[in-house]
Amino acid sequence: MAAKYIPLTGAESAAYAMKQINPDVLAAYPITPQTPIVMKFSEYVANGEVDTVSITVESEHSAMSATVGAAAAGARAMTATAANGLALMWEIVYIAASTRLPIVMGIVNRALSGPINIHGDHSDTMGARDAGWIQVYSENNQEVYDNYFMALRIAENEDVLLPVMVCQDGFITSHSVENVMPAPDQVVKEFIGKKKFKGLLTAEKPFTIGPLDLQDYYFEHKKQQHEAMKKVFPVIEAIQKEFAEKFGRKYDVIEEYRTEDADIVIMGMSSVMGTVKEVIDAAREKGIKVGAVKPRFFRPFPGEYLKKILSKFKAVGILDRSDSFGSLPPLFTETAAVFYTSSTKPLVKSYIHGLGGRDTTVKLLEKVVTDLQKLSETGEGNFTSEYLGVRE
Amino acid sequence: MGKVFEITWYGRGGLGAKTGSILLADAAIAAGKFVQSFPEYGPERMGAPIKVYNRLADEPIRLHTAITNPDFIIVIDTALLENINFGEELKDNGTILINTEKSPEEIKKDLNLGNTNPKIYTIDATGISIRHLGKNIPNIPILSAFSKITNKIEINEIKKHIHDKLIIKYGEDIIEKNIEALEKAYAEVKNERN
Repeated sequence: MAAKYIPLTGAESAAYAMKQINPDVLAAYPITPQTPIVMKFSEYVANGEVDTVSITVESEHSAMSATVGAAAAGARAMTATAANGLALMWEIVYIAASTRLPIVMGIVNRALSGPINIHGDHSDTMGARDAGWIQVYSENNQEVYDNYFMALRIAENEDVLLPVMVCQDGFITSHSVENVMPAPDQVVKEFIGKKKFKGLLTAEKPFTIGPLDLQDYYFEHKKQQHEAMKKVFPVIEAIQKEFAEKFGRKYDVIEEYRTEDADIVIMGMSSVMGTVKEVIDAAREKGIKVGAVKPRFFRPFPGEYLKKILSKFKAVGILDRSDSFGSLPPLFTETAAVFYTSSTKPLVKSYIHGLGGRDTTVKLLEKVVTDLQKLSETGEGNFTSEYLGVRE
Repeated sequence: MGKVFEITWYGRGGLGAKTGSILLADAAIAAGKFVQSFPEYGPERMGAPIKVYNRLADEPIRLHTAITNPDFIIVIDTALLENINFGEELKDNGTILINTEKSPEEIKKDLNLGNTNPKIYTIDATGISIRHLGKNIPNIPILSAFSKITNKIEINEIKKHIHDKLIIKYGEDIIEKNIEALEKAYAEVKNERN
């Protein structure tokens, strides 16, 4: 049967991918806007369309604990959460990474309380950026679907063995129906292969994992996590290449859009970048040499890639969908740090946008283009940050 | 990207605006189009006003923003009319479809049109729904009227998707009644000239 588009929300795209992965264990607790992932997946379990053992738990802390236990025993274990749910599983999120368990967790990015807000921003996963997980961000529902398979392969790679968060924007993609082209089950099966990771706990050789680790070895173990992260990008590149061959869709660590002759670029992650591309096409019609740069991964941070790509431009506007109160926001700060020793570097401006799901409109992004033109000509506003579209 | 056709639905929780919008998306994808269907979520509950959006295009849709300047506005509950500024919101040469027993001429005086002169259509979707289904779920007659007015989607494509989407949840009998309502609405939609 020829591949064709079907209508799926971002959440359904995640559930569909999880169905095709057919994990051994899913332990999850519902939280808006992640709920439809677990709802849909539970339907697959109830219909016998997957062999997964679905563990219903009483909180996200238990969800991640059960996932860690299952993964340590050698199961392909998955979970999904959002915002306050991620916050509640916090303690075990770190343990999953430091125990080097290849767990894939779906994240539907949502603003953290308070006040309570159920809509999309990146404050949840940006807060977890030092937890030791790989993070991949998805622009649209097709990317959500595709990223699950690549995430699984990255996590289970023997040189990596780290958990991965597959992020998408709450409501903006999670609850929006778009065209998604799923791959036949057989293609997925061949791509993900059989799990090589046998787990840490075996009956033949019983031992304890994650016990007390004080001044004598803790430090060394932390450095090992960093060393593992350093091996991730070559693995991602190889997996993206293989994915393109099997699925016919090509992904790069950093997506560049109309950058060949660009003077200025807008950089950002997830759903806003679709709107950015439309704004760029319209600006190009007016003869403005503007492009877009979309890092797909935030952890590990693709600093070397960005250094190479961004040094070509006069000015870069960096969109963060989260804030770091009392400092500058994360994507901006880490990008700027890459250029500390460079003699060739672009002028940079930070934009905090879309907090709590505030719509980042075409009009607001057109203003960013105008700003960046001015910045590239005068240098005024270099290394400053502004809230895009906030009411004063 | 080519032209994107944008639709805003004004409804209330429970009247099927979201399901209608998803049915439209499903049918349009099956017809080879690119779509989006997304609701504007607030503290949603039965009876609360809601807005749902559709985008339709021949090429992939990349915009991830709310629709503020639609080509087409659908109003499922006339009690919402006084809060809609059609004159400002609707695109030039846009179209309005309202669920009401009234004719377009009669309902026109209740609309905030400003200086604009959009095409106005009416359909008694609630009446049709109650007669055929025994309850007020006007989304199917609305979709039928939309199909006739815009030619953006074939009525047969909608029929097929009503069947596929609702068969498990509601069974053959309800599907048949929905199809009847669909056909009735297709015949009954009114514009200002009839």
